[in-house]
Amino acid sequence: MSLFEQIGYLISNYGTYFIQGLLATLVLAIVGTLVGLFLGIFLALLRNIKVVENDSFIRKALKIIGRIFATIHIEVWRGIPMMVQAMLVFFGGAAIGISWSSLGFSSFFNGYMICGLFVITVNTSAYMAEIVRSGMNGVEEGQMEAARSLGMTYMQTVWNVIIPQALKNSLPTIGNEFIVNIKDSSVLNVIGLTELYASVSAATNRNYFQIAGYIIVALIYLVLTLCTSLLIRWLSKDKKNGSSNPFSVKHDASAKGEVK
Amino acid sequence: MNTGIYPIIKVENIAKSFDGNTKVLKDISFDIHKGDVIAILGPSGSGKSTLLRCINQLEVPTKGDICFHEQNIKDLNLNSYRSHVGMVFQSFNLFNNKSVIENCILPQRTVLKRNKKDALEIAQKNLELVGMSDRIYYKPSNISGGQKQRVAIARALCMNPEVLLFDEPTSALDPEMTSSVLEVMKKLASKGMTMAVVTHEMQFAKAVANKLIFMDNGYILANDTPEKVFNSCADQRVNNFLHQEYNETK
Repeated sequence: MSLFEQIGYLISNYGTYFIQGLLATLVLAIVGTLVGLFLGIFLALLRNIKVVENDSFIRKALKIIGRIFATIHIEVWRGIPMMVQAMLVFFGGAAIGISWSSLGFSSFFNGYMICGLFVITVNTSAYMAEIVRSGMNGVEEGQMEAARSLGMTYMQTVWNVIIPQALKNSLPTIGNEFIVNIKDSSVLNVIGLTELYASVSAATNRNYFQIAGYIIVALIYLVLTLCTSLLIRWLSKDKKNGSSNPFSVKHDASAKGEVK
Repeated sequence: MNTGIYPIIKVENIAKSFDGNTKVLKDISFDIHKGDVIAILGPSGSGKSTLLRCINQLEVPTKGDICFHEQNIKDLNLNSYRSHVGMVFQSFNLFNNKSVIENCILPQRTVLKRNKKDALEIAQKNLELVGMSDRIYYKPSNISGGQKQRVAIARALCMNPEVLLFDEPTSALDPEMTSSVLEVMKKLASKGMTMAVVTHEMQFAKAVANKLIFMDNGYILANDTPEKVFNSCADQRVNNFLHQEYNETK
């Protein structure tokens, strides 16, 4: 059989394997990125927390503990390869009595998937924390001052003014993290999770058409990442130009309106 | 114009230093009464902006007290106090992620807990007052500097402040935009709004203010009516500065 015939054979006979693998990869990447972003925002806030002079002793202590926790979390999860983390969580979890298989609730969301989701989410949260933090630091100081001068609390300002701007500034980097997750979720096959990469061995273990299998999977990865890149580029461009805003007046000469 | 018996804000002997040794304010005392329009003048670096920031508590004075209706602000809820003392900045500081109308609504909803309908009505009323009612859905990036500053004033007004502090509100604007912002401020003054304005606009200080404070090097050198400070101030430093600036802006 020629390579093209092998590819055709795999697609027609084992197509569902690849589709299931693709679904698993997408779920890992999407959940990992979104929940990781959400956790990352909290971690960024914790790491950015400032101890103020007139804080009570307990408040000061809590703030310092929070900051130390966030710093350790970020450094540890960024400093170890995800493959090692996956093994440590999977076997380490089992050693301390976490039964991953009992946490699974369907054939798709089985124990491996739950463990994989946990690892990719927590791993992503560490990267997202730094992305969000640098986005927050990039927001002009005047935004915080203006909100505080109006009487808004620190948290009200952060949620309503700072975080939305930080996320907008970081959109390309957040999108990049999603692309990384699409690809890096492949390492989670070490714990027995059948995602897109692992679907090749399942599809080729009887026919030995590995090259054809990996070509199929490579093309699927490429299509996913390219589509994501295009989507992010379009989203960032849209935000930058404000073209979605029907009231956009970039070239409106009447912008210098008179006072009534 | 000092209609109130006691001042709305009383600043008593405040000092502010940064990093322990840069003394920006040395010993400042003055009162803001209801209906006052106080122009605060002085050379760059004299501590004018720091003084306003201390009043709004964006900076905490290292010494001295500030009283709001005879209560030390240290004993008040900071955020509720701030909602009574609005501030307008040189760099406008509109929330970039919010439209003009949302800029005016957000603080009302979060701080004063007004309902949507009331907040919207009040925002519209104040935007109309500053001549911005035709641009309410624009993002700050799509309006001019003068328009941004007028929106910032409207946003502060939405909180029904008792005092409005202006920190060089026109310094970043060209003459045309400056006049549009000064017009709004004159309008507010004529409506009896209590204001303290750090400015280099001598004409405005002379025409609108009822009190003029001249600061230099962290001290108040003159605090009187504009006529008296301009015409019969004994301090040579004040005279030189005011007349030089006045001739320039004429």
